[in-house]
Amino acid sequence: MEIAFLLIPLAVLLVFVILGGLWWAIQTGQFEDLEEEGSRILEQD
Amino acid sequence: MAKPLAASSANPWQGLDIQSEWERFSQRDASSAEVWTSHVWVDNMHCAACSGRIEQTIKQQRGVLAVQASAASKRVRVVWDAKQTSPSHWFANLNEIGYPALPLNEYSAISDRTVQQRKMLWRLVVAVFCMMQVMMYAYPTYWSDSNDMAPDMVQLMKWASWVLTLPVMLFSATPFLSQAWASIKQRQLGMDVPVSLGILAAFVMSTLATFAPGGWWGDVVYYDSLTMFVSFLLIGRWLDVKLRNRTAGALENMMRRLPHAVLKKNAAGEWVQIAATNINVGDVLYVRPGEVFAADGLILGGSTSADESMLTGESEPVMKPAGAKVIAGSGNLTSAIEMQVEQVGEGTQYHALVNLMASASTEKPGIALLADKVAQPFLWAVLLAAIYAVFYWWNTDPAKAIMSAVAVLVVTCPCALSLATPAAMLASAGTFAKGGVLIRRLQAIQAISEVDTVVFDKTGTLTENVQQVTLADSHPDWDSQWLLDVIASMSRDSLHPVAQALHGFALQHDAQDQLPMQDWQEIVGGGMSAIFHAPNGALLPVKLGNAEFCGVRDEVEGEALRQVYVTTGEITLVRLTLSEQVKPHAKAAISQLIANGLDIQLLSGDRIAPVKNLAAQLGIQRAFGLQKAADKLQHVKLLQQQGRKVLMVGDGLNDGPVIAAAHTSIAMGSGVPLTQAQADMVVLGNDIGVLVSLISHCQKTILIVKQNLLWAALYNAAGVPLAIMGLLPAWLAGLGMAASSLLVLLNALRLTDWNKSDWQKGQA
Repeated sequence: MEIAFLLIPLAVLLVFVILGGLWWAIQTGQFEDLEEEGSRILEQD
Repeated sequence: MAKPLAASSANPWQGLDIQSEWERFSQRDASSAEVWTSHVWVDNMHCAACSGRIEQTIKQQRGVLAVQASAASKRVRVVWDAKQTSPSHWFANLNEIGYPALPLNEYSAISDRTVQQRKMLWRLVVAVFCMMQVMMYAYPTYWSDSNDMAPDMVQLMKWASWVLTLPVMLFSATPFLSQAWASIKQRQLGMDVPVSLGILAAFVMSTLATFAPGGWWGDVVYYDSLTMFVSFLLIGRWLDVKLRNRTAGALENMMRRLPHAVLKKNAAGEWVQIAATNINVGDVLYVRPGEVFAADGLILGGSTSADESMLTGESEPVMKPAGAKVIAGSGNLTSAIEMQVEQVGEGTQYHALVNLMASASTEKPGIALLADKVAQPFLWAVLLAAIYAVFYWWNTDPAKAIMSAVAVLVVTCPCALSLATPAAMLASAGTFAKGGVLIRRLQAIQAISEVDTVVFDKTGTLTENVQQVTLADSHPDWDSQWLLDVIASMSRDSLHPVAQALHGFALQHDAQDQLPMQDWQEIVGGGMSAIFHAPNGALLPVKLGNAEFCGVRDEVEGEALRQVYVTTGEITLVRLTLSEQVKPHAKAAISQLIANGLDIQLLSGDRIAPVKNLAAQLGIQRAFGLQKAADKLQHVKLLQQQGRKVLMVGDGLNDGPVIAAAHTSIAMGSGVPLTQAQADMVVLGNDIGVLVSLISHCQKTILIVKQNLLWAALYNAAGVPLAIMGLLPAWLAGLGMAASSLLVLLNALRLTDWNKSDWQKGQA
């Protein structure tokens, strides 16, 4: 079980890395319009 | 009439080169007074290639420092130096490469809201994500005996949980902490105060237990309850921010209805494009069909019809010959005209309507204040109980005194109490959404459960938007099929809704609309005329239109809205009656509402006779015709002064102010988006019957809210004395809190069962 002493801190680190990714996603507006993006491919340019 | 030139010799964007003008869509750079960041709207930028091309071209301009074009939002951001260039240069440049741009005036307001919404979402994401991780470390300790896990392993998990709770405390929970602090400074007690006290107490106790275990504070940690609690609360806050932003966006869309740029006749008699903000009284403008009038004014040349439905409630196009008045915000329908400006900006009727709507919507009392008022006595009781616990135990055992106070705060930590209302309301809102009813304000559920008077608008709410055509009589000497062919052919090319209804009616009766005809003419506000070859071969001038236009006596009567005639010379060939069609279920729904003890009233802008007739058909006692927007508002206010709770059901935009002023409101789906945004609920799908089950489900929701509150109160009544007595350790208090929250949520889930057509069972 000693491996947990390495894995748990690593997991906590990973949480912050993932949160960083989510921060990027929110700031670039990925969650602002969830409907339109899906239908955009069907529209003509 | 002279057609406007495609490209004028003068730069049409010169109007933007005054600083006060460009300030409307630009912000000064923080680093330099001469550097500006502007936002413009390019409507025909559709793909990445377009945005690439725009960026490339504008970057080459002298004085342009940076360009960023986004095809998804159709916006371009330009950073430029006012010493070296001016907006008109790069606006002209964009025009040259085929992307005419418009200044994005309200940009700062939009971006403020976006930033606010993103921040709230970010708080929520941090809290939920950290909560999930904390749960993972809390879970093993729930299920293991004290000897199962090595003590240092338990300690490691506590440390990990502490690290993960820090962002929740320092970032996610700050809105609650800062609002609690603000209300303490103002010597008021809001819901945020005990929430914050609970959060802080749990965090401090857990931190002590983590880093200095074994003191009087024990060694139990509450990171899981803490992060879960904050996440639950943030979900509510985030939904609230989203709803409010949507409202603000809708109001802005209404303001944006006016065009940004217009064609104006300059001194040399040429048409030049100017910014709409630069229109002055006395200017002559060129307005094409399909455009919106930018100002109030008189028509100088040409004649057209205008769609004024959003300003007057008149559902039919209004005839506008030369010399007639047109109003800003109404749409030009049929042909291009020249107009002279009489009123701009604040002075227009359009602006008055926007202001009326904005002020009516702010008159509503905030539910947040109401909730605080109800919670106030409870909050004081909790605080006093905690203080009492401290005093009770202080002399005998200071440690137990602190523990008991914390237990009181944790056990009452108003989780169940603060979840009781929103959980039930959100469950109902979700269920309604699945059934095609959208809720814009959650408190509307409570408002709707309390109404005793329902005021209906007529067109589009109780009746279909499409007018029903019936053949009143047709001349016996003429072939009726040929007459139908005539009607179909004449009405084929007109955009008027009555003509379209006639065309549809004729086609339904197997008419063909390609009959040869000459000199087809449409006279706005009258009808159409053309010359046909009669079956016997003679040339026959035919008129189709209203009585005045056809030169006959109007025989409109009863429930009919109007009659349309087809004449030749003095002979009336066909008489058609136009009437409104009552929606299916409308009568049954109305009688069910009356049976449920509601007072039903009908307000309409139409003639009194058809309104009364419709009311009689539906069994409505009180019906009022010829009601303009202001009259309706007056009527609703009068009812409210009598102490009635009024539910307004409407669809037209002229109902906007009334909808905003009524106790609560429902918009039917075919209404314009703004009214929908003003109304508390929107019923999609036009089925009036939904109202009945909607109202009863709202009442059921409030019942469940009351059950939840009762449970929270009972739980507190049992828990608080135990906590004060020191019989309730903090961990058990935490468990009790979680269990009561869960119970409240499960009770709320019962609301997810809703059948729209339940009410019809009682009909039979």
